Amino acid sequence: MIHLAGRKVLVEWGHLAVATLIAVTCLWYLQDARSASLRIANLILIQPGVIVAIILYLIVLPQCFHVFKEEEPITPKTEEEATKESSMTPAEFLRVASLAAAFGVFVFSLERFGFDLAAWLFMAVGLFICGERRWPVLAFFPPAFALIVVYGYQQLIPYPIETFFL
Amino acid sequence: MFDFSDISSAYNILTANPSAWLMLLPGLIIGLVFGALPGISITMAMALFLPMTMYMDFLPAIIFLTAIYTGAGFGGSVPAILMRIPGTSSAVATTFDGYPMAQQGRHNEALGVALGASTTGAMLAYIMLFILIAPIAKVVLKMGPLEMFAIAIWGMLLLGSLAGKYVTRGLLAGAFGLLMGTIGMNTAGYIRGTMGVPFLFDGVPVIPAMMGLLAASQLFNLVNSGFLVEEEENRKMNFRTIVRGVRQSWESPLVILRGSAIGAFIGAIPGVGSSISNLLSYSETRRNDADPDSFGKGNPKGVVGAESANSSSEGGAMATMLALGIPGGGATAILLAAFATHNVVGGPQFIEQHTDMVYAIIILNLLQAALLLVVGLGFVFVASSIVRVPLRYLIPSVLVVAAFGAYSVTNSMAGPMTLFVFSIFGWALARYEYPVAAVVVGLLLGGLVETQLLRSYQVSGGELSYITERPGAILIIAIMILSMGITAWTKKKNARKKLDALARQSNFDEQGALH
Repeated sequence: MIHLAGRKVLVEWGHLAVATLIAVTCLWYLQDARSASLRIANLILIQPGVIVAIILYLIVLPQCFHVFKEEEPITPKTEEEATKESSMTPAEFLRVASLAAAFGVFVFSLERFGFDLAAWLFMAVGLFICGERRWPVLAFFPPAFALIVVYGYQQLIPYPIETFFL
Repeated sequence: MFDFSDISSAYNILTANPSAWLMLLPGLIIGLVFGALPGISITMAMALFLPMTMYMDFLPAIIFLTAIYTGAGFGGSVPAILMRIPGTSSAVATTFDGYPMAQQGRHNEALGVALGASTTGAMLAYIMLFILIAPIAKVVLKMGPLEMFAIAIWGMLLLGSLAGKYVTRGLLAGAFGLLMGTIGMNTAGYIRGTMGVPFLFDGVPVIPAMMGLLAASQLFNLVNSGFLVEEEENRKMNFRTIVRGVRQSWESPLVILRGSAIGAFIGAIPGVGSSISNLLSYSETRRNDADPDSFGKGNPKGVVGAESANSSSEGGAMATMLALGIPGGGATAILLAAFATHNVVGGPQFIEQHTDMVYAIIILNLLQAALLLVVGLGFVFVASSIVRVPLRYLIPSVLVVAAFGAYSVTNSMAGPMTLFVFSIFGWALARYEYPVAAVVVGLLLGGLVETQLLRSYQVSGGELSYITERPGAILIIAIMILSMGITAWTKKKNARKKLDALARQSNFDEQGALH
């Protein structure tokens, strides 16, 4: 919450970051395309596309700011209605972030560990993050699932996949 | 319009080839299973079984492949409804109302509706193809790059009306997707936005990006839920409800007819096909409905509109392939390859010289669409048991399968990496109510839009007056402006209606308080 000219301004920081990321990426892309060539054959869609995207960003930008009168009380409910920031508790957000991080580690370890071992480890960690606490399930389901998936895809796709055990 | 001697000859071909009939069932089952698997596309399923058709006669080989095509077309809607993973790009619009229906515990009904609309749409398209195969061939030949560009832009602009609450966020997401779709080397040979990453030279891998945006991102949000459908009562499977869903789809004959007509027409345009037709039909269904605000929240008509269009696109794509020998996409390219392995060349000459064979193929495709209704009922019943699986098993399992699927599509780590990046991006977009589907469609069409625009520029020499020489393009642009205008007017009218209703309600409350 920031105070500005006798008003309280609730900023949706996450939304602001997402919209700005889109705008910055578009501008970088235009700069990259223009550095490749200034010919029409190169910029025929990119240049007008980026201009449209930036105009749309400028229209979306005010939606990230929610202005209230100084005397108006801001309850958690008001805040939730105005923004998306508080629609998830910190604990819930942490679970989502943990799963996303584990998925990232899984993806980048596929070739390093082998698809079978990486899938086994991710399944065990993923099950735990998602709430599974029974150790027999954590011990047996992940390797069994990894085995089935790796074997299935080995049969389906015509090229080899890196594995540690299989 | 008909040559009855050719139809009689087609009947003789069908009775003399019992092996062609035997290919219907296995083809449909293979298609259904592969279509329902995330990451295994229709094209991949058909490509995997293409070598097998070399040992078959021409008609059974074509029927086997078209049965896989038909089965996979509907199979893709099963994960679209149950997990918001469109098995194929043509099932994107199915997720808009199918998934909310599943979340409300109406998964049986949604799957039944999708099956009913899908089979009816496919049958209508083949009936239309049967009647119109000759005139279609003449019209499609006249399509140029400007017409294709106009149709693709129309599809993109329609996303504005699909965006729901915030039109500007929908358009921004669509524009961003369109730009992402142009990354890599364009048809003129310029390389942009690759950051020196070799796999981006061919563009962003669309299927992994689509899986990340629409599926993996949604799975992250489900971490805090116990089941896909929370209420135990709603997780029950009910064959009768599935059948009722099928019947329910037939209660909207206009939606099916419109969807089938859009699907058959758009499907006939090479390179555009079902990925646009399902969105176009969904949008038209929503625009023409008395309660457009109910769309995106579990309105079965949304599923009917999307499914009738994507299944009928197959008929349209078959028309182009049979009439012109031009593959509209990967699936029809494989069919043309199957033609070639049997020393048959598709195109106007094939139609002229083997009209009876063309009619035989159309009749068998019509029958396979009817058979899909029976086979699909059993398949849906088995496949939809997925909603009973606790999410703590489903989430990591689907993420693993998606990563493997992404790898299988690209044959490199480019697939899983793209999947991961777009899953995080998709989660962030969905959190702030940006329609991720807009980014997906933009990504799908980016390359096509740029290529067609560039060709139009080259053909016209940069002269704007060229447009006056293309009545087809003028017609499409006029329909596009009219369609967008009507959408804006309907939105304004609905908003005014809501304001009037609110004003009436407050007057009523005030009067009640005075009394």
